[in-house]
Amino acid sequence: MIELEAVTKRRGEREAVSDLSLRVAEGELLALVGGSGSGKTTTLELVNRLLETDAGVVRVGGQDVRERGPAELRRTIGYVFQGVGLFPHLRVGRNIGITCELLGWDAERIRDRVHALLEAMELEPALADAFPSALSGGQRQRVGVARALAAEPEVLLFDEPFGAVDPPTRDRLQALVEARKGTFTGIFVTHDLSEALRLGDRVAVLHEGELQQVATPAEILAAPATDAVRAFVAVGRAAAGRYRETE
Amino acid sequence: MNELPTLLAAHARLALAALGAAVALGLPLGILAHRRPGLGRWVVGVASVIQTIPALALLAIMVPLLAAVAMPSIGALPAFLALVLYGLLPIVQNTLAGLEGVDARVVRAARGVGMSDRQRLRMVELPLALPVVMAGVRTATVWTVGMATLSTPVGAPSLGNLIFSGLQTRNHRSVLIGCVAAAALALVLDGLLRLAESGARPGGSRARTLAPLALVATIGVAALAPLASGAGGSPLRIGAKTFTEQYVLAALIEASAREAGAEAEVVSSLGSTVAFDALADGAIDLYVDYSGTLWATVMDRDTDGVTRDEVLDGTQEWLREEKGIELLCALGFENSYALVMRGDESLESIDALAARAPELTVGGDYELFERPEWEALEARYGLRFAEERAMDPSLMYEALARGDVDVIGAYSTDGRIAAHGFAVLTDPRQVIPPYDAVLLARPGLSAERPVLVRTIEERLCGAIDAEAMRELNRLVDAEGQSPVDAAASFR
Repeated sequence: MIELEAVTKRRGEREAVSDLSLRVAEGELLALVGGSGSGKTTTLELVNRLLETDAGVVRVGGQDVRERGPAELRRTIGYVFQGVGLFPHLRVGRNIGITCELLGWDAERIRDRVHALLEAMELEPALADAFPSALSGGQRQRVGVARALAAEPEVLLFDEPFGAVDPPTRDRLQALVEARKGTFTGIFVTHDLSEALRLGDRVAVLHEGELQQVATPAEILAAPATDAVRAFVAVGRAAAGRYRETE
Repeated sequence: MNELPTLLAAHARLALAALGAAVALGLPLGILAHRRPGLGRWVVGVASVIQTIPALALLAIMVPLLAAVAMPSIGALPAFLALVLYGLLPIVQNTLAGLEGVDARVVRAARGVGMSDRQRLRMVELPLALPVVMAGVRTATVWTVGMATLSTPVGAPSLGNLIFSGLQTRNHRSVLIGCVAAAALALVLDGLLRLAESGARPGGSRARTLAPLALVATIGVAALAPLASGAGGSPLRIGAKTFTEQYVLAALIEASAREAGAEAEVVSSLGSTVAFDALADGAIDLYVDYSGTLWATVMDRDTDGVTRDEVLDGTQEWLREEKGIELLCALGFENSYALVMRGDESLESIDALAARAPELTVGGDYELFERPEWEALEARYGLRFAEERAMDPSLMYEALARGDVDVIGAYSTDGRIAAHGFAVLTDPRQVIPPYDAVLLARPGLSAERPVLVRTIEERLCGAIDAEAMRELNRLVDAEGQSPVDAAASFR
């Protein structure tokens, strides 16, 4: 369970996130959408203490995150980074198992876990010994997801993970996440409405740091609550409409 | 060249010790500078300022600094400290640049997967910064090995001994051997570090990283070997300043000590005041200085109108009472500054020179124009030259012969005066003080090793006249003999 209660984060003069309250239930995947600068990534970073709140409380599993050391907290929260952020000097297997290593797992357990994850992410076991530079963009994203899953985290955070891959690859990656839904509690940040609608149990829309609406995908489409949500949905619809016309 | 292995070992020992300390200090400083940018600018600023000090000056300034805090001011310590300071900048700067160059997204990922600050540094930032850090270490290696040749004048033996003494005695082979050996050492160390670095890159192996580093360590250990074997008994340490006569005299003293059954070694190419300070500190046991030099520069006395005996006696008394240094005896010759011109243009006396001086250029060693007796010459004869040019003493005879300068402040026993057919101007007003060559012993030496000191006195005191000294100098300067060979031909 992830809870944000009246959270504000200032970036210089302006509030990147203002007075935000959100609750992600156990086993739920919340899709967090919004345009550039809407505060999506900031919100994620407040959950695992890559950033500290200026006001309000963040709780993971019912506990205020400030009661836990940042490094120790982050080892229990899987994070899939925008642009992946694999360690270029470490082999794929070591990249995947890095959090397990930090948690002090023994080598054999890490090796087994890495192989299980490679298989789950539909990657060749031999890739464990490759360096990230040898992988395709889609393969790197899969490794990024595997790394986030490795230490069996309570909570998973996705920061626009599939923004930079081609559509067929993105579809397969989304299917991988979709297939695991229900096994973890998480927030999936994206600026792509269709991705949010596909993956989110509920969708939260942020605009300029303020929460506009939290609702199921159907409700978002049927009854957008604010102009900002309406605009977001309209752009998505228009794109889908144009696509249909050309069929 | 039988001293090459010893000097090479001393050189490697000094350079590697300094390099190791520079890395041990520079790496944490670079990391600190990265973590605290305010402090970082400071650290890099200070290191840069140190870098702007000429290497030779940095070495020389260590001597009085160390003496001021009662540390051994001569030998390995000042050289080591100067080399460490010099090696710091590239290491600090490259560590900082390397860490700053690590992709911010990768740093964020390292935090995100749950690394502590220390783990992030060890597992991600340092490995990724390594090529840049190692480039800094390699730069420092080449600088340190090169600059170690300059540690000779502060009394730390190195390949610089071959270069300094070779330049003074016109032994170009010795200069070349010193340079080539230093360059080879720098290249070998640089190459090994490059190998270690490439082994540490992604896809490298531990063996390929550690094997070259082990070789570097082996060179360091091998360089320590002569220390261990030479530890028996304490050899007599004989100082020599940076010119031919000093090398020959040191070789003569060394030979006498060996005849008396004592171990002896020459600490050569010491700076002029470095040699005196070294003797006062007990860092060397014996060396030859000149009464007039001591009188004018160390004792700061007036040089006008004093007699040879007054200077000799006054110096002896002052050294004993003020410094505890024993002036054992005069060797029997004077070596004073002498104004010298090309024989065909010579003007007989300094009086005659004074009239022509405004059209002429005078050359002298680095000290001459700052010395009190030069001021006295200017004052008493009204000497005013068109230009004063300070240069290395090994070059000034050639400069006069070529006509680059018209007059030089030469040394009266120098073999090159006769070899070039130069003429010495007379000093009718007796302004240039008498420069008796005198044998000095460190405080307490005569009491500790009376037999040895007496043997050396019997062999050398009053035994070398100006004619003999000039001949010995000529053997080295004109005939190309080594100082040791020239000394062996004495008597």
